[in-house]
Amino acid sequence: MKKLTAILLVLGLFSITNTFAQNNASLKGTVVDTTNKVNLQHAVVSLLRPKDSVLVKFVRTDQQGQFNFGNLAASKYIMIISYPDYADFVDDIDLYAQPQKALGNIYVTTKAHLLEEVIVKQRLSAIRMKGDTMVYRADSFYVGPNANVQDLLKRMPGIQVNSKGEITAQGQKVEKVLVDGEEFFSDDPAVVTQNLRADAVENVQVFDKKSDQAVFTGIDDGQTAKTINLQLKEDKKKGFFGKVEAGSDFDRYRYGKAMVNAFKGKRKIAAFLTNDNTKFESLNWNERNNYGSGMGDNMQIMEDGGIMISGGGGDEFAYGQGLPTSTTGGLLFSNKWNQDKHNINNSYQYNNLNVKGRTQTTTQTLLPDTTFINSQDQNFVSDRRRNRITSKYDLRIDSTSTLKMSLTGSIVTNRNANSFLGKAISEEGQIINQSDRTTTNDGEDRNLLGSLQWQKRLKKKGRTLSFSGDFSVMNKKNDGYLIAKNDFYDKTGALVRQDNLDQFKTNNEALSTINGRLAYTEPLWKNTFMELNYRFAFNRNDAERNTLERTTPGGKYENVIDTLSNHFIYNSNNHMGGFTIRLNEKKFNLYGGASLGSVKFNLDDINKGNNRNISFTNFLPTAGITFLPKKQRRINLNYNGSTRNPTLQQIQPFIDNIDPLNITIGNPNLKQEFRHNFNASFSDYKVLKSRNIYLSANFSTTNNAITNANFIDTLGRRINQAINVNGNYNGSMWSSYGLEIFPSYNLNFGLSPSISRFVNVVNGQENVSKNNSLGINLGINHWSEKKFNFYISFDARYNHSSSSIRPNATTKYWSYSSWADLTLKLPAKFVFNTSSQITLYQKTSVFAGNSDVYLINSSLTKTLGKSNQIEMKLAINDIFNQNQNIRRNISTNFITETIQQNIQRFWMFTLAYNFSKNGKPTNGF
Amino acid sequence: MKNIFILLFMLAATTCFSQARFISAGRVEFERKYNQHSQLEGENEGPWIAEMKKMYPKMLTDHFELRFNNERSVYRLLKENPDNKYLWMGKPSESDVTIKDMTKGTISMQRDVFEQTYLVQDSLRQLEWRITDETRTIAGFECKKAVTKICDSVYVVAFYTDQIMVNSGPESFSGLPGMILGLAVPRLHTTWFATKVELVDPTPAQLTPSQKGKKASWTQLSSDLNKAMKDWGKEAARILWTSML
Repeated sequence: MKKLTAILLVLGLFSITNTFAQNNASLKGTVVDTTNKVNLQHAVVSLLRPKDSVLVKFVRTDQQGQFNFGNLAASKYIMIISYPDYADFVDDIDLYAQPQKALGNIYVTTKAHLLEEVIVKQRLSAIRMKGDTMVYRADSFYVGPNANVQDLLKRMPGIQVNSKGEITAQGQKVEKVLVDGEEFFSDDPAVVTQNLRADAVENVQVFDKKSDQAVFTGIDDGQTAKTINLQLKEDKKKGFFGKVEAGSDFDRYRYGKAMVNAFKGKRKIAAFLTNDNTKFESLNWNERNNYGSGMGDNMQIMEDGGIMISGGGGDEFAYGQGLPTSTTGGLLFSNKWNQDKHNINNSYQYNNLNVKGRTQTTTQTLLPDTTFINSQDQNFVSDRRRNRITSKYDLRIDSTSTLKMSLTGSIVTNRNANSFLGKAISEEGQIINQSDRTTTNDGEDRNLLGSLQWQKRLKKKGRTLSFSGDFSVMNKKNDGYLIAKNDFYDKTGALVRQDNLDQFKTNNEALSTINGRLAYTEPLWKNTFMELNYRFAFNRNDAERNTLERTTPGGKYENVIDTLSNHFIYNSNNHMGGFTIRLNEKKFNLYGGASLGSVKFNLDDINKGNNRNISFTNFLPTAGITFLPKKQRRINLNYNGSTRNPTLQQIQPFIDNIDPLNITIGNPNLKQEFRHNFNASFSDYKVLKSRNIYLSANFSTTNNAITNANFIDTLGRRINQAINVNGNYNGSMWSSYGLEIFPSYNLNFGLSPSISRFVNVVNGQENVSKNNSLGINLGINHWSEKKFNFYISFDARYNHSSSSIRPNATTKYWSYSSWADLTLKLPAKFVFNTSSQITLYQKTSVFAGNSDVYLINSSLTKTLGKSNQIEMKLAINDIFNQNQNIRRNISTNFITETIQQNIQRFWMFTLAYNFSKNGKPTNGF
Repeated sequence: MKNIFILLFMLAATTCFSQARFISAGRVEFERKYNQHSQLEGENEGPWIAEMKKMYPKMLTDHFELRFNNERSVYRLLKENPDNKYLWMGKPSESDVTIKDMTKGTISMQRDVFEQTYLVQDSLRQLEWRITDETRTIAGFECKKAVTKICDSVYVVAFYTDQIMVNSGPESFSGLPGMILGLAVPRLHTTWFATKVELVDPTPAQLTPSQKGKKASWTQLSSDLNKAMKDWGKEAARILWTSML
């Protein structure tokens, strides 16, 4: 639009001048060569506007060397006549005074005549230098503290700068000045050299068209261009930035954090300290990147520029349920040098997390002839501490190979105590069993982890070799008490049995693993690549568990209970080789491959003197195709098959009586399962139409699926055993359609159905559970930089589940959830934010309690200072005092609802101060 | 190779005296260089940006060709460069083709912008070229420097030679007394320089490639883009300017 206005304006101006001046002026003449007295054809005659040298009109001379401008505005012009190898003829023309002008013969001269003298002069004054590339080290030439590059160049032998800023090197005019190999100011070397400070330059490289340097840097510079490349120094800026933040409700809740990052160039030293009893993780993404060791190791950039954060759900100290009090501290030293070839990152981190909480669980168990309901109320308190040192080193060996290494050591101590109160009630409302159990645990884990990645691109395009490997050594030691009272009742409600446990348990484990993967890719022919890979994994676990009871009531825990004590050494060796072939075409990509390998498990039962071996063959086929029919449209189809092996736990479990109402027994006949996975996705994104469609679906079915058989006895105890079944499948689909409804307001709509069939065995009878659900999602969002942003989304899901053992007892309910967030930018640097998270579960006969949560948070922030150094915030968390974590889960013949306690309503006043010198923290990704 | 053509050209020039030193039909090969890291630079340089810079090369080189005679010129991508790894929207389209008709003063430009193929049919853009006295030799031709602005504020520097009598150049640029052999848009960190000039007459077929797309004018293209990217911030300007080249 602006452009259009500009054009109109220009046109307008023209028309105004035209009306005033009238286009009735004309100019003609003939261009003649001085020496040969020949009229020159094709010479360009240009007329420029005198005030800004803008080209107004141009013509070429005809065969007779004549030119003729008609319909010219009667004003002043600069006329330039140019002809190859001739010096430009420049003259002022005044058509205002004389609208019809005939210039007659205009004589032009060849440059050869004019330039001779100049060339001689240059030769005299230049110091001749030989060699393709001359490199001057900027530091060896003294210039004043605020000198620019021009001053620097003037001091260098063989380089001259004239009054116009034109540079001559080795006797030739410098046509180009590059900065770090990049040519953007090439149109005017004077601009670059005047505006760049001399002390920012590391080297001055002078080379000409044939130099290897030019070829190496890939800078093509026409035929005669002499080039200067200014290589800049790495940023040696020194400075710091940091933040102090504290908040409180002046009663129960408080938090504080302080962090600082001092840097010199790329060397960075950072520290932080936090204390918080309002949340698990005190540092946010940006703070972790600026003051902690960052997310670099878990983060990977994918081929399409996407971002992948791996690492199994993040730091175990960063999330949880309950009421936390956390203290963290960290120190970081990182540096990069030699043009970022070397990169080290060392960090130390301390964490202390103290959590108190309560979890209530209600489980409905469906049996062929009856159902019953278990409820359990758990209170817990835990205290964990961790000291961790991490050291990472990245090396870019050369332009084709990189090496990454990391080493992490940590010591984690933990203490926790749990009390459980549970009971099971039959369909008739009769109590079946009741338990009261307390466990304590006190332990220490020592871990050492290391990893190494090496990649090399070989000479042939597409040929690469890479290795990645890691190892871990872990020692876990813990001990604790189990004190339990379990009561069992018969159908009449009479107490039939009572178990009393008072035991001390010790547990020592030494685990070690080594993994490695070697891969080689080879271009087979055009657009076709093959990858060969080999993987290995070795695991060893030495686990010793002992259960002791008191010798006499009130005595010491010295009697070892043999049935509940064991010592196993478990080894596994896994080797696998595979290949993948990829074909990349313009409109589609195709891949297919398979891996085959063997895994050996060995279990040594030290106490019983048994030694068992099992081995399995693993097979993993994979194939896929991607179509790219149009820009921003993509269709993906994938298949992968995988074997899953029974664990030795499933074949022969460690006997454990921590929960005497849940007992696991082994199955020596357990077979390997094979899973088929199908995925399909479609995406179509239209920027200009502000419309997007995403669809994805997956389906998996399992042969010999490992599921469980459970036997629930009349006392409500559950005995579990792993078994193989067939006919398990599950599938789900997700879709989203988004469009702009008003400018900057986007609407999203989606459907997400899911189906599953799961087979298990209950009390000797096959049970087929079918869970189907349909979700509907609707969302609206608005984003604008200046005023306000919001999003609101609403999800509704209908769940339907049935079990073949109780065809009459189907479970049906709706669940709803909604997220919303609104940010308003108010005058005087006030920002208002409110967010809500609502989860609602429809009540059923079993889950009749109130499980609706309306969690609403609100805050008002005010920033002060020129660069917003001071931030004040008043916030209210959970306005309706309803926060708790509720989940309902259906699996096989169990339906479970879990309610976990969380921090509820509090208000908080926060003051934050940001400080900095010469730098500021990075924001975002 | 380049040198051979220059030699041939020089030979032709000397044998036929002054008349033959002018070219009115032929083929120019342009090398476009783009610093795609400039797209990643800015205030918010988090770990993702740092990783992206390691994964994507800084400079991208692509080759374009311009075939021309007195009346028409056709500009298009020469071939895809499989070694390049482009950021989103950075890959030049093989189907883009720009036809300029110098006698009628019109342009017909097929250009992929996001999901849409546009066919901009308009008059040749009237730009205010400021002529300077600086010169530079490109592909053996002495070129004069001229400067203009597009989209209100984006400076474009062009080097043109009057030895080629066809008033055209790379992308949609024209309007100078001769052929533009060098072009630089500093704000977009992009340069185009001719690497060779061949004296081959274009065939009629080469000058009349088939085109398709949604018909639009310059103003319509720019208003479509402004509408689609109004909330994009800084990134929008770069894409707009690139699409309006």
